[in-house]
Amino acid sequence: MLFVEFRFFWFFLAVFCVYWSLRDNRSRKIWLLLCSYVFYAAWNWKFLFLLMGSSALDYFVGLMLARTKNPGARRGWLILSLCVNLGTIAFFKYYNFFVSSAAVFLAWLGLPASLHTLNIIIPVGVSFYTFHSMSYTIDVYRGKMRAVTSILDVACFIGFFPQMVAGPIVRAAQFLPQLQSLRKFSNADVRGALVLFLVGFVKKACIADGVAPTVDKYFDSPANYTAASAWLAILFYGIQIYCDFSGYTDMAIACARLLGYELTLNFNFPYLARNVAEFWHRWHISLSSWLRDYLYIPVGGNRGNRWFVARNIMITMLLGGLWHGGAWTFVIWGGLHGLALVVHREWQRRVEGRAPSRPLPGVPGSPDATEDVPPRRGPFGWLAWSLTFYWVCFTWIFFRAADLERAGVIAKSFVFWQSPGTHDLGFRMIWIVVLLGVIHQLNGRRVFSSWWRRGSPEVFAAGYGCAFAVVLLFIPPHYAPFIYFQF
Amino acid sequence: MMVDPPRSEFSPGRGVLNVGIAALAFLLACAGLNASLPFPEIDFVSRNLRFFRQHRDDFDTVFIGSSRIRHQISPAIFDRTMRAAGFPTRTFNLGINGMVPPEDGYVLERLLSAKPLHLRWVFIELDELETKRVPATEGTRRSLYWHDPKRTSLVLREILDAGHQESGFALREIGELALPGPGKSEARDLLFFHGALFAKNFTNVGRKIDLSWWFSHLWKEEALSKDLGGNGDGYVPRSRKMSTAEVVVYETELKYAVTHAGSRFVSASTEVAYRQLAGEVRKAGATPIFLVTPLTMQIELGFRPESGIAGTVMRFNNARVYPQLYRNEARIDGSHLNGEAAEEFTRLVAENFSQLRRENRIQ
Repeated sequence: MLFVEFRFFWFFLAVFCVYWSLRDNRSRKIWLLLCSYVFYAAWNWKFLFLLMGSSALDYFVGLMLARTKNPGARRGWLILSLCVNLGTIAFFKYYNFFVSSAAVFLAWLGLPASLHTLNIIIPVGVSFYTFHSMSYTIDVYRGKMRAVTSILDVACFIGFFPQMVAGPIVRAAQFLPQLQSLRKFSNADVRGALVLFLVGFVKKACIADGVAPTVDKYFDSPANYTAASAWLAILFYGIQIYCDFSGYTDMAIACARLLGYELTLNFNFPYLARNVAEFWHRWHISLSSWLRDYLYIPVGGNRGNRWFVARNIMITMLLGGLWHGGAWTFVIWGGLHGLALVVHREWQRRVEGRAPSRPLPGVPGSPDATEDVPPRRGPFGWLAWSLTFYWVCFTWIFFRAADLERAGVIAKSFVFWQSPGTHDLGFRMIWIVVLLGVIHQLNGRRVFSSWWRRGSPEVFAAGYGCAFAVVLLFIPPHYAPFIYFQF
Repeated sequence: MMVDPPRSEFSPGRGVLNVGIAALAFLLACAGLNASLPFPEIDFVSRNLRFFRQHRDDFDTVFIGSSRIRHQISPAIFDRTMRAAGFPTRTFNLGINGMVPPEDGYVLERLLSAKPLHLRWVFIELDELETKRVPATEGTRRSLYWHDPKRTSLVLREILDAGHQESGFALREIGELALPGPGKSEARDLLFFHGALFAKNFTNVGRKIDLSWWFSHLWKEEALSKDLGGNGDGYVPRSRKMSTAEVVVYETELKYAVTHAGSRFVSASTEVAYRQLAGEVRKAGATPIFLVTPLTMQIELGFRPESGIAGTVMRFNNARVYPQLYRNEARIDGSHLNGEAAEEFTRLVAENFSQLRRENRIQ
């Protein structure tokens, strides 16, 4: 069930009406959990047991961590949780990747081995809900939050349907307190949520799905197309992935907000970033802050000499790339971003002569989250923006390409403007990129942020109904699944 | 980033009112857009309709139906035969592959909305309402564009009426469909299928494509469509020989059909569809004639006397009366004739029609 489908509308309407008509918090949570499981089962009901198992295990581990004072035993419980959660991801997402890579490596060593891959279906959202789940046990282990005594709360947190399958990756410390207090409808920002949902819908259904056919056409057989087509397709993919993922996030945040819950910010105009560190403070913030707190800092973070910090950045970004899927293209994508972060850090230290900024952001909403990299102004700012955007687009090649061979062909076209192909995608479509760029820029300056709050609720309701009718004109007849569902 | 919203006490009554306003605005906007958007660009359909619209006053006779009309009625031969019989006509073939009821009704209404001044005769291929999914067009705009309220209600009614002789919605049937169970799963699936297509069509999902097409063709002179055939009258003959295996299948099927020949009425919903269609044709000042082409099926389709459909039915699906149309050499498959036989069939239609007119037996 996708947020952009008609059936989701009916599903959410039922969730919303029943939820707010229930008086006590426990009944509401039971209802939410039930609906979340129905939502998940709409894809594949068999994997529901995996989700339930993950919730039950982490609830139990949380309780045991609260009861046990012995540091060794506590570590043991945490390791159990990590092993099971990471083992689940490893089996479903990486088994085939590791097996096939091992076979290639052995063959390279002259030891050909016939290792069998399995026909594994990846459970939707497994990377997201296991990260939710792990954040709970790690925070309880670290003493950052107390273990929750209600399994309902833990199950609701992990399975909350708006954010279960593709984030944002909400921290237990942020979401569980919301679950424990009765939400009031009068506190819900309904108008803001509805506008956010419409914006997310437009991003996903109109823009991302609109450019997707052109992108698919190019990336399926890049060698057939000209270098200009490569540029267009890569720019389109940059638009597609941003609009697809941030559109999903907007709709997820809006749905949660309509139910009285606040999810974490996940995107903050990433394509306006003027360096790669700033990009990671603006792109998939909930993942990058998760990686910072649960990976980058534990492996050493900014402590130590610059080579040690560079190593930490590279480990974090390579694993961050691998988190997206079992393919070398993702690893390269993460590695390229890691490299850029290291280079940027050195640039700040040597050329600008200042303390390097943090490579990854803090938890959105927390006091240390706002320590953004100060943006540059003037012509150098434009140059910095162009270089950052070019680099980000270049890395998208590896994120999107089906294999390394095709990625190489595309990269050659994009960087050296060389391609053996003669087919043209129609470079005039570049006006779409320009138009969306202007809108992104204006939106980044908050031009559209509040005018729709003026006017009576009746006028807003009528305008909203009409706006939705117009938006439907611009969506393709068939929806494409959200890109991040595969992760 | 959101600005802090003004908080106010929630009033359920006002909330419901606002939801109602939003829903009403949405429906009105959809209906308004639906009415004002250009006709969708559908393969074969749109070009042929545009051609007819441009030459609407040139024709007084129209044949409408599926490939059995498109490949089997030659306007040139029909007009020649009619002229020889003393009833000159100017005919256009609006047969479109796969166009069966109720899609043909939708297209016919669009044709009549062009207000052709001299239109006198409309030959409509008689067939049952089609409710099944058509794999060839599923997921395309062809399966979507005709799902207006009138056509969708007819299809839904046909699904609900299936297996019932009496007309009208059977409450018990609706109840059975609402309950889970394997018995009605196909009907349930079809109801959802057509309901979803109606919703998509009504809400104009993806119709930006029609706007772009319209804008891009605003100043373009359209070339004569190849879909209209060599003469530009809509007739496209087909020539193909059946293989030995196909001949065996055809002969077996025909033999079976001949031994099981008989007559029956079309379904209640089909009658409703044709009653509406006949009414529209008559309102436009023309006369509807229902035509059954030389199918393998040897059943005489007709309307119940109480159906109130005033329209002559001309049937050619009788291998005993029209053996020349059922020879192996005359056919390309069980439903279609080759070019030579199609011309023979056209002549027979014209001769029978002029005979009926001479005898003043056209209703």
